[in-house]
Order: sequence, then C-alpha cells, then structure tokens
Amino acid sequence: MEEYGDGSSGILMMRNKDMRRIVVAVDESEESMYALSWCLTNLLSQETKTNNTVVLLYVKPPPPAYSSMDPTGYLSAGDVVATMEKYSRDLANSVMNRAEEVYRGFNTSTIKVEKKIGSGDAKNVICVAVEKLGADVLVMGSHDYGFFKRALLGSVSDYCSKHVKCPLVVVKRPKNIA
Amino acid sequence: MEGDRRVGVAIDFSPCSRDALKWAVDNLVRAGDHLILITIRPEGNYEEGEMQLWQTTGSPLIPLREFSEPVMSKKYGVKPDPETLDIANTAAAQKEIVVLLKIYWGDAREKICEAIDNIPLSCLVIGNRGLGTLKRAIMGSVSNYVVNNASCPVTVVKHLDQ
Repeated sequence: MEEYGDGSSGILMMRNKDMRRIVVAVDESEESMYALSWCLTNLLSQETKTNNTVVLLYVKPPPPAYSSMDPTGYLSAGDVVATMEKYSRDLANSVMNRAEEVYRGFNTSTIKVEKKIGSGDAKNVICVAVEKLGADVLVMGSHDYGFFKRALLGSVSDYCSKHVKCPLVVVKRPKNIA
Repeated sequence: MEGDRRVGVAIDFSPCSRDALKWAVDNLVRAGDHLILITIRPEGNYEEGEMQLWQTTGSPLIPLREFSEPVMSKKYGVKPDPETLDIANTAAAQKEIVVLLKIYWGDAREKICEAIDNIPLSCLVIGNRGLGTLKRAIMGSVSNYVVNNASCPVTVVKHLDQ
C-alpha cells in the first residue's frame, strides 16, 4: 500500500494503510445522492480494518457580484445581499440534510463523516479541495448530459476527471425501468 | 448487498491498467465478487484459431488458471504480462474472489461499453494514460468515452509518472 500512497497525492503525508478518505461531491441533484448511496454500499461496507472518513463536499454557486449601481438606477440594498446569502446557506443545509438521510440508512458506526462547504465554480473548488483534503477517492454523480449539453454547459465530472490526481468514480443513475 | 457483484477492470497490460487493477483489488473488491478483466484486441482477419468464432460476442469468460498458462497466447492471441497475472493471482488467493478474463476484438471504447451491458457488470475500473488535451483530441480518450457512455459507475484510476 505504501507505493500507492506515494503516488496518489502531491501532499507529503505519511499515508498509512489504515486510513482512507473518500470525498463525495454533492449538490442538489438526485444523481449525487445516488452516488453517495452507491459509495456507501460498494466502497465502504464491511470494511472494519480501514478507518474510512467520508467527506461530503458541497459547492455553493458564487454570490453574484452586483455592482452597486444597477442599470435601473436602484442601489443594491443591503438586505437583498443578506437574503441571497441566507438562501444559499439554506440550500447548503438542505443538501447536507438530504445527504444525512441517505447515510443514516447505512451502518455508519465505523465511518466518520465530515461535511465541507465551498463556494465558487464547482469544478475548480472540487479539484482544489481534493488536493487540500488529501482524498484517496473522489466520488461524484453525473447529470448525464449528451454531447451538445456538455459542450455548451460544461461538465464538472469531465473537468475533474482531467485535473484530479486521485481515482475518480463517476456514478450514473441507471435509467429507471417503468 | 454482499458479494455477487461483477466488477470489471479494463486491461491492456500497460502500467496504467496495472494501477487500475491494483486499486480495484485493494479498494473495491469484496469476498464473493467476480473480478472480470476485460481486454480488447484490435480487430483483425484471423484465419485460424478460435478468434473467428468469437469476433462478435467476445471470447467466453476464461478462468484465471487457464489464462496464466502460456498456451493462452497461441489460442487467443493475447499474452498477459507476468505482473498483472501476479496481482490477479494474489487477489484470488487472498480475497476469495473468482477472477476471469474476457477478450473482445474491435474498437476499445465501444467494446468496453458493450461488455458492461452484456456480461453485465456492476461497475468498471479503467486506467487513464494521462494524455494532454491536444493528444486527447487527436488520439481520443478511451476512458473519457467510457465514463460518458457506460451504463454503470466507472472509476478512473490515474497513472502517475513519478
């Protein structure tokens, strides 16, 4: 395991065999909740030897930078900004609560769960966080865009697969058969 | 959900796929699973050998014992390298799993996605050669295609040149 530990991250950490950090990127979508439950079922079950830490990473969209003078002539009021911030905090809490519901269903007595909230552009924040947290695996869901949507909207999982140094698991939700 | 999963690992006997196999064995595989190594050979015109029989559906699932033998290369045209075999053998002994090999002939990307549906696989692990953007555009990236088009969760294990 030592040879794997050397190559897996740029951080000079004494990686011992018994520790494993799994970062799961969550957002508001069902796909990422499914990715979390897949991760708990498949990567973690019955592993009593290794200490597993699951880090739930949620990235808030960046607060829009409004100039203080809108074209309409109104000055951006202080409480508008406050409302926006409250909204994004509520959103973050609701995502974390949903994630908690998912992992409460599993036997998580041997697993430590941490929650981290970042803000900014999802792809960059995830890649930076993975480096800083020293993740061993990154798990994320996939919105399953087609070719054009990917080209236009950009795909976070595509970006991460190019830039992240640790193994990446992309979990697609299987199409439910009616 | 204990056991009974079919975990696939895409192999081309390069160091990257060896990393992928090692990661899968260390982190993903549990006792009772079937570890299926998938290798894709380029399509060719095979005059003799069983290859002709299996061009459309791929070879049958070959057990570990059989593909450790040297006669494999003549029969299927595939020569597994000793390090990969070593990892597979250790895994089979330590973890109580069944290790099988399946060979396909054709285009790597499409065949891997086909394999996921046909075998069927619960998840797939694939290595990543770490090509830059330009090279990817020219040569194409198998792992990228597989991640986007597979019907099961795909794990991409990077190969880091140290």
